[in-house]
Amino acid sequence: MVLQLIVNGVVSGAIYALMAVGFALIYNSTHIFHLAHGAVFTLSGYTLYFVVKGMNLPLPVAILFAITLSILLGIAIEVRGYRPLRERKVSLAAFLISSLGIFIVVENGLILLFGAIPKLITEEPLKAYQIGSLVITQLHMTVILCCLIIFPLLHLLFAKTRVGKMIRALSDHPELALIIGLETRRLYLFITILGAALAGVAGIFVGLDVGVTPIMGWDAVLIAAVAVIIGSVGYLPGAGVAALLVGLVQNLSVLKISAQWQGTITFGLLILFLVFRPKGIFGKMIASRGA
Amino acid sequence: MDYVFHLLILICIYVILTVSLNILVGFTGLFSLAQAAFFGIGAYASSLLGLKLGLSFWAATGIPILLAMLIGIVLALVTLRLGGDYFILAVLGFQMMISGVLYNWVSVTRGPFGLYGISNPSFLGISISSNLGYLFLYGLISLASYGIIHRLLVSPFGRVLKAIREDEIATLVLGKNIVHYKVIVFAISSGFAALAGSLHAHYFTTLHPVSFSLSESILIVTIVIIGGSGSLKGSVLGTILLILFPEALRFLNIPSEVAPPIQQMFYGFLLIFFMLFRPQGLVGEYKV
Repeated sequence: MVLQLIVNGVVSGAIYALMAVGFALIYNSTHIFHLAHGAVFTLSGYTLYFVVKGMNLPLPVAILFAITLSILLGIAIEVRGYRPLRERKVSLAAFLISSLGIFIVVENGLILLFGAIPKLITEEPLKAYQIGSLVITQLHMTVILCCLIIFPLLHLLFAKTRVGKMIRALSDHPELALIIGLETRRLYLFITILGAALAGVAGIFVGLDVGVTPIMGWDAVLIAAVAVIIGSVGYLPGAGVAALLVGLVQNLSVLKISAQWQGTITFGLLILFLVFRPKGIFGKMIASRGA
Repeated sequence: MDYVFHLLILICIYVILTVSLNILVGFTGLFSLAQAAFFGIGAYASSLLGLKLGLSFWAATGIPILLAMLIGIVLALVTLRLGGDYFILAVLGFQMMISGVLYNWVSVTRGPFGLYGISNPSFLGISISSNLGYLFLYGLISLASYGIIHRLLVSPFGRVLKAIREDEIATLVLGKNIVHYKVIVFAISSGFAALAGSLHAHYFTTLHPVSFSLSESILIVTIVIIGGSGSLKGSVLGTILLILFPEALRFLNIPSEVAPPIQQMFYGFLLIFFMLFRPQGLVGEYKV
């Protein structure tokens, strides 16, 4: 039982991590509280649903569509929503409100198109493997496998490549980055695309696993934000680790407390961290890097 | 005519709610997405005091206000040590926790079934049951609240708040204890939100947790932003516009199942539009 809950926790934690790392990527470099990240996630799930169910196309095509549309929405948000605000140097609250507006528009647009009722993408039960008393579905294995590929690649991107270093420079000091001649517009666009793609992947996994609802983005983006804070703002891997932790705590808490309290527990965890360790789990590491 | 009274009563309740949020967002520069939580604390506490202990309307309004102020003070002390974004997320987390409690603490709040049978208010010994009576009482309370908040904001206290909003460090240098001011503002704002909650409960006489969810908080923020941050008149104007807007949709014969999403989408577009082109709202003075 406990082992099963741990496995489930790792799987939901891995999906949260995809969201959280995308959110952290955007948050660390732009300082925008990017609520619309949840809109990208939801749109991805619904695109998958529409292509599979409405157009009867095979799953790989649907996945391609879902990721493409996520990226396009991400670009639209950056170019039409955030960039004009950034160039007018408005306060961070203005970005947040704008982001909230975008989220509401996308969420309710999807309600108008598909209705407010949850939709399933795959009706037949998922293929599952049994190891002793432990059951793990093929989808869940894919989730973990994907994360094991995506996160090391991201790490390589930031540690080794030129663009990764430029993004780190931009995150540390945007004005200095501009002065030394970095093309900040293109970097912001690149970050947006990366973040949107990650949210898109998360949306696909959740869609395949439990189906889609128009409000699914809220939980996803709020958990991502919580994970970013718990995992120390400014430290990308921290967001992923914290997301995993949130997934585990949520699933293991079922042992003691009924499942509908999961949301409350997540935010309780956030408040505990904010009170006792506001710099997050990895606060010391950031301090020692001097950032 | 009863319908017009109903809309006016709603406006009275929401004016208190939006003005109370404007003290935070528009006058002190604290962006809070938890006003509906305090609204809900007021509504539920007031109803439960009436239903379980048989307290009268006035006692069952006063105690929740004090309770909400106390919770506001604790929340402020916990969250204000943190910088801007942390504050926003922590307060948002508080909203989600209160929503969770209202939905899931079934033995007290009856969860998704909601509360009903809440008593009517009485005023000068007369029990109020007609819409006109409600309008009279709530109109008075609403005016009084507006007056108190207005008085507070034009006082030296209010000027310090605006100074904090414009430049925290400069205000600190002038020897003002910023945290002290912010905590008081948070308490006042929460108290008025709870007052609005109690009025809501005793008008509808039934409660459902959905009225106090995150989307309600977003609606209140939307009204404040559109009306104008930092302008109490703007909040009144915004309230009138956004309370009447769904009613206008009803007259356009839009089917009832698509009306709410259309309305929400419109609000979303308004938020984006105002941030891009008019961050101070319709008549506000502070660009968020």
